Amino acid sequence: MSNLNESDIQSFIDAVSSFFFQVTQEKVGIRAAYLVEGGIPATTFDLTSYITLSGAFTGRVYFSAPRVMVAHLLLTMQEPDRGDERLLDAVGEIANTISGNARKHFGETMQISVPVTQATEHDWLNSVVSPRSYVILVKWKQYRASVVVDIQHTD
Amino acid sequence: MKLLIVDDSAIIRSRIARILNDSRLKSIDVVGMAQNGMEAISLFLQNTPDIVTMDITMPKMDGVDCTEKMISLYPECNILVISALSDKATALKALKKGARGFLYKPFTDEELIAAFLELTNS
Amino acid sequence: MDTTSKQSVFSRYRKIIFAVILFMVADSVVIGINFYNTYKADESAVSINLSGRQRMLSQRMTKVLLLTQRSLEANDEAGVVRNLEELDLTVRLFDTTLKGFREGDTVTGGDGNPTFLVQVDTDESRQIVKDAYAIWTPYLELLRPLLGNNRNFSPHALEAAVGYAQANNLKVLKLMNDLTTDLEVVANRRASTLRIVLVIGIVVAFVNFSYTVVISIRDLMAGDRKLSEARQETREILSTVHEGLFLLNKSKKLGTQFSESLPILLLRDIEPGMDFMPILEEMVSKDMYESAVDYIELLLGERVKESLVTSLNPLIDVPVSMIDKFGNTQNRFLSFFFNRVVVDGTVSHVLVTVQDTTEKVLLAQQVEEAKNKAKVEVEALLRLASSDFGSLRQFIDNTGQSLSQINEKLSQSSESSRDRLHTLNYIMRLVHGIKGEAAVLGIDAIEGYSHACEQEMIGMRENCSQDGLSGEQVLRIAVLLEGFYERYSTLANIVSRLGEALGTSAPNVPDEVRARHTGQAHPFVTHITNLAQRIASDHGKKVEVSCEVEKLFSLPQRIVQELQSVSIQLVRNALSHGIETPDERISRKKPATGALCLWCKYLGNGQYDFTVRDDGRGILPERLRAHLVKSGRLSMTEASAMSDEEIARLIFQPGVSSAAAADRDAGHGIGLDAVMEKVKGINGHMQVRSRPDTFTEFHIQFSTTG
Repeated sequence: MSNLNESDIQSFIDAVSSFFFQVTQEKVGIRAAYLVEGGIPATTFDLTSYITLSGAFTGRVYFSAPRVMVAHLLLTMQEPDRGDERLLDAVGEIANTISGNARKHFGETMQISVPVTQATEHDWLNSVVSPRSYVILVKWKQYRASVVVDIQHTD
Repeated sequence: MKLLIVDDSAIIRSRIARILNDSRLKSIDVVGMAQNGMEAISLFLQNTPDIVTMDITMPKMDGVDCTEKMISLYPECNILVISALSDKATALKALKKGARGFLYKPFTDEELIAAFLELTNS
Repeated sequence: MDTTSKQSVFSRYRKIIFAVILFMVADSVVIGINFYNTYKADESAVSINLSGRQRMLSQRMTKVLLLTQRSLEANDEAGVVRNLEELDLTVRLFDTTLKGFREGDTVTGGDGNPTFLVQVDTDESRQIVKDAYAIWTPYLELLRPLLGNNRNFSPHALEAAVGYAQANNLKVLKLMNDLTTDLEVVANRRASTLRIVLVIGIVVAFVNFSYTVVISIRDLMAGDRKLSEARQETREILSTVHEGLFLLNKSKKLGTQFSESLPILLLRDIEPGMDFMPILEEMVSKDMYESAVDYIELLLGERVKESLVTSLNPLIDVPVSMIDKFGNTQNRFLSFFFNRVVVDGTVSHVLVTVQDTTEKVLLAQQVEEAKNKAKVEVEALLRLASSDFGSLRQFIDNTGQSLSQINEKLSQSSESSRDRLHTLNYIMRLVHGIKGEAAVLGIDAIEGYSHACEQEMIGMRENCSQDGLSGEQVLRIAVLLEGFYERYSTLANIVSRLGEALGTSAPNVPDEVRARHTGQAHPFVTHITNLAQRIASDHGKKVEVSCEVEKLFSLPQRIVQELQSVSIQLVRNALSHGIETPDERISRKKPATGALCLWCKYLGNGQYDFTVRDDGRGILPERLRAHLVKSGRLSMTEASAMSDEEIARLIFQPGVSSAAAADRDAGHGIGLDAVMEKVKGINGHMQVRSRPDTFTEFHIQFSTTG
């Protein structure tokens, strides 16, 4: 039983939106929201970062975006270096924003790890904890990115 | 005190009359019962009641218009709106037109008596 | 309240009033004593003055006697006369004065005017006066021949007087001297008494004054302290309470004081005197806001009875969305309570109490959730007990499939708003299907949840903007789906576990096969009959169901399933729109019990006809037309341009319903478009036939060969 309500999930999306809005003055909109049982490739893009939560809720929140989108983001930020490391930094920064918002939203009872970033090559959703995870596709410019919420209420 | 009962449901009408009859509120006499707004207005003109219990959803003329009309005829009249709670916004409209209070359906005997006591002690 | 305040004023000033009275009494006593003493001092001054004069007169008497004697010896007749005259004056003055000392009398004063001489009043003085008289009485006797300007006195008399005077002159002088001294002592004593009295008076006045000052200051300080304590208490209350507290005046503006929780609860800065209504308007929906304005105005007015309107307070557990300082949307539930503040019989303010009821509301929702979950489990057990196991498994399979379809649709990221609306309609149809099947099986928990989801999605469809569904709404649908999955997996879990335990997990022996063997009614028939009876009783209607559907059971399972789900919807429609209440039927000269027939006929060439017929009021094109115009689906001109048949055909469009009010059985306009979808799914087509007040028939024709 995930027991997450939409305001919980919305808090993660808000973090991503506010990140993009601060950096680019452009809004990020929800394109689709659905459920996955176990990881499916359609939800992952080239670059992924995630935070791990423990406390009242346990699980991970992932942010995953295609390389080209993150590169465009760096371009908008007028970042000259758009090497892999910078790209991962940017994705990690978004996870950091999600983490900050989650801390505000859930309060101090939650422990939230530092973001882990990786270039997605393997099936990173292998570690699902809840029976079904939420996948929220967001859109910035012409790109899609996903926020995957795999969190379960700790019994 | 003269009471006019306005409700499109015969069950509610007889229930209000029965509750009053069983209670110790002997000072209130039922002078008429109407099943729609038009009938209510004509009984109102005949009897000039002091208290009116007013349903909201009724055929011909609804409780809001009926309340407005009665208050314009006799501003001192005490109108108690009796309606389903799901229709708060309409009930508020009737109160704005000058009704004194609101009681929601379904109500208990005690609630109705308490409402009448409140209305008559002004 | 007035009398108590008067009393308290009196008690507060009682001490001061007492002090002032004491001051006045003490003062008048001192003034009185002073006055008396001053009067006495005047008397003493006269006495001292006159007793001094006596001293002088005694000497003058002796001197005049001697001068008279010398004038006589010198034959100075004029001198004798002059001295006699003076002697006479002197003696008389001395005598009356001495008498005055003894008895108190009016005498000639030092200035020649009559003045009252008081009697001496000390023992010493009285003795002195007595002693003086002892000398004076014989002296006066000797002088008497010389008095009254008597020129013819004998020289012996003069001699005797002079002799006596010389012998006693010093004694008299001493006595008069003593008298003066004594009177001075008395006067001094009196003066010192006066001083003491004055000092005492001043001391008393000072003590009294100090007392008054101390009392007043103490009272003032106590008053100030009380006031500041009261202020402090108010401050503490306002800074401690979790509720937002404030007063609204007649123009719906905030008072000067409000609790510190208020800005936190409302997530915004609050200034004294702010207009409350715009604050509220930002937080709640338009309808809610308008109701709230009405409600607050009623309370601020005098006409309504407060206790008879509290149930109308629209602002209880209201969902509010607010933007916090980080720019994030916060969704909470707040309750606003309003109480009249009545001063002097009129409403002066309304006290507003704001509470954050989010936890309470969410807890209630959770409890409901838990209840529903338990309900799912119990219902599943009951189903199992009624050995309707095959249907249950079927339901689980179908529902699982529908849920996957919904999810798949959701995962198709839709760009245009039309797509999203389309998605919503698609999902609503599937949900409606689940609801129907759950209803047939009596799984209330899932039927209820489906209904709630349906309601919410209807709300989304009606309220969505020109841009279609928002991202948040899409997210909400995903959350609703998750709720579905939860209930579904609970049920699936239990069915599979208990199924195994009961050893009935083999789904290969369908119920209908068992039914045929045992001679029981086919589950399809039982379900439809039960559903029809339940809906009929919900609506206060009576119905008799007859089914001739045996032909169905030899058809492929897929078709039977679709037709079963179609029948569910058609039966719902028949009972909510078609068949009338017993009273209405009697008034139309029909039997009180309605008839609902389902049949399946083989038409040859692999063609079948499946029909659902009711003998109710039929489809009324006029009513439908009016409804379509009212709901804004058609313009007046469009509607009147269409034939009755064309109008009737519109009932297969999404969102069209002819029921006046929506309940869980019909009226949402989701029914017939779902039916149409399913009929298309089995390559069938559908016809409707109807006669007002007589019947409605839905014919579904399909082929098993195609």
